[in-house]
Amino acid sequence: MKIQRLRLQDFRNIRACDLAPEDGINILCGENGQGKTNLVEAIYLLANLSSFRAFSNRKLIRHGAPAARIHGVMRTGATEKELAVELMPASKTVKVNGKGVARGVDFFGEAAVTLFSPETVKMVRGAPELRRRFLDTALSRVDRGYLLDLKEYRRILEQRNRLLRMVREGRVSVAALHPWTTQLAERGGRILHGRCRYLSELSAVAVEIFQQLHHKESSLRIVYRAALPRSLMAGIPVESLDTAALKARLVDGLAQSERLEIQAGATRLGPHLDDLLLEVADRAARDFSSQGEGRLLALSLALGEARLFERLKGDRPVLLLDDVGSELDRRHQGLLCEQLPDFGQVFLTTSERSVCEKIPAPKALFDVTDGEIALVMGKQK
Amino acid sequence: MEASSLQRVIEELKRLPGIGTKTAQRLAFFIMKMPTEQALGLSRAIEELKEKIRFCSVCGNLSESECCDICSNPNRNPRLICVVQEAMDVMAIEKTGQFRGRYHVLHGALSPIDAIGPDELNIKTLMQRIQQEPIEEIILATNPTIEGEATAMYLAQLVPSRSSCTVSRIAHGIPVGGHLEYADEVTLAKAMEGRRRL
Repeated sequence: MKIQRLRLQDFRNIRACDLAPEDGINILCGENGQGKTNLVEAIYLLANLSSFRAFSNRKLIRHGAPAARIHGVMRTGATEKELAVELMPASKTVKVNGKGVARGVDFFGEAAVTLFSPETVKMVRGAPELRRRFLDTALSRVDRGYLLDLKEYRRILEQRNRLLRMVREGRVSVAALHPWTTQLAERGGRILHGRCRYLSELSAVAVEIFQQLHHKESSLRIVYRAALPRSLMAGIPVESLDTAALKARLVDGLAQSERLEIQAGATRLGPHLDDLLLEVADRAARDFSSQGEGRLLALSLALGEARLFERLKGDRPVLLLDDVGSELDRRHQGLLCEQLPDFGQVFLTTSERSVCEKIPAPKALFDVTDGEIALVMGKQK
Repeated sequence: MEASSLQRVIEELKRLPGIGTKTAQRLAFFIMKMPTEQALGLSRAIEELKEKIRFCSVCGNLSESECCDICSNPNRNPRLICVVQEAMDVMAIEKTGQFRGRYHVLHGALSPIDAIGPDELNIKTLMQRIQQEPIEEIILATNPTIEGEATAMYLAQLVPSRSSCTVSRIAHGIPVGGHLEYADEVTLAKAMEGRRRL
């Protein structure tokens, strides 16, 4: 997928802009705080309907304006489509080819976008939730059934946790848990299976990219850590089990921990508690001494996601690289730039113009100053 | 413009589901311009509805007497009970004209986060009916949502296994006259799961 044209109105500090990005690499250059990331955020929002760094619409609307608008013309092969998002303080409207879309789930997947930002790097050392979120987002983009399972799983979990507290208070009998436990395990089994299958493919791609970027042989390993009792797994790796077997283990595990769960008023096992173990040269990435290696790892996962999307969906996603320069040293910047032409359309933000010279054509260079975006080099509209 | 009686109608209409301020205003103005007879007819119909309609003491369906038309109809099959969430669902199934058994209306579905547990639903009378009536099959026709599904599973485990009563669940899948390509993934997967031999 390529963005043919992008128009913004009153989005963050950008009053108005109308761009015709290059099919290859687009460089957004400017000092910090001028609006480069805002542009990347707008593209991300067009694909995901939520921002990666703001929770309220109010922050996304330019101060004093009633609403923010993002309008993109996207092309996949010979097909063009128009996506439009209008953000108001307490609501948003979404349109595909001028027609309103009622449910967010129906819009998700209309645009294919992969993001790497300084936030992505936090996944390496941060809380397990960040790694789960990365995996869930990536997987939801290629598998809509997964997204629906995940939404239902969260709802069942919320219901079950509330019920556990009601059982603890003696307001309902333990028997009332059964229907929720069964449904939780059913969705949970599918989610676990989906994650393991996706992860085995992702890790193959990410390992390859990691080695290219690192420019030396170093073993990267990504392992899925399921929060299932060891006694139930009996040494069997979680990825070798099918959906039904995973469901059965979740049912057994939940039955075993029922008493503790009632005490705690919370569900204590299932995909909502799982983690990814990232290992470089047999060392857990969480404990890395080198920040640089962690950054390369996060970048490899993001680029791997883009590659895998292309393999699974037959379409190259738009790649957003926010402030990737400051995350890498010069040598690794160079190695990344060599790789970039293998990805589809790329938007790269940087505060150093010199990055531009390292990148092979075709490319466009935009200058971002105080919310104004000007084409410096590249095709005109 | 200060017309408090008009404002009151607008506020009352806004309580209705799916009615916002704009629609409430339009409806209120429409009612104001209606011939007096018609407008009073509406208000009397609402009054009568509240006075006369109550829940059937047997099945929980809407009724104008102690026992609803379906429960008191001797031509309905007493061996078959269809369990639904709302009285509206009874109307929907009745429109098909295919089901000749009786109903049981739960008035909702299990939902702990809304504080709706088994005691909040019309389940006790259902259990009494299973013991007292010659029921052979209970068809669980709650909605195919998480909450409806949980309610069906809960009811299924409540029916004593020694009883001669079987429990079934209505099928889910592709709507008749619908196209496969328009069905969402979950519906399609369910339809695949529930396939049957021809």
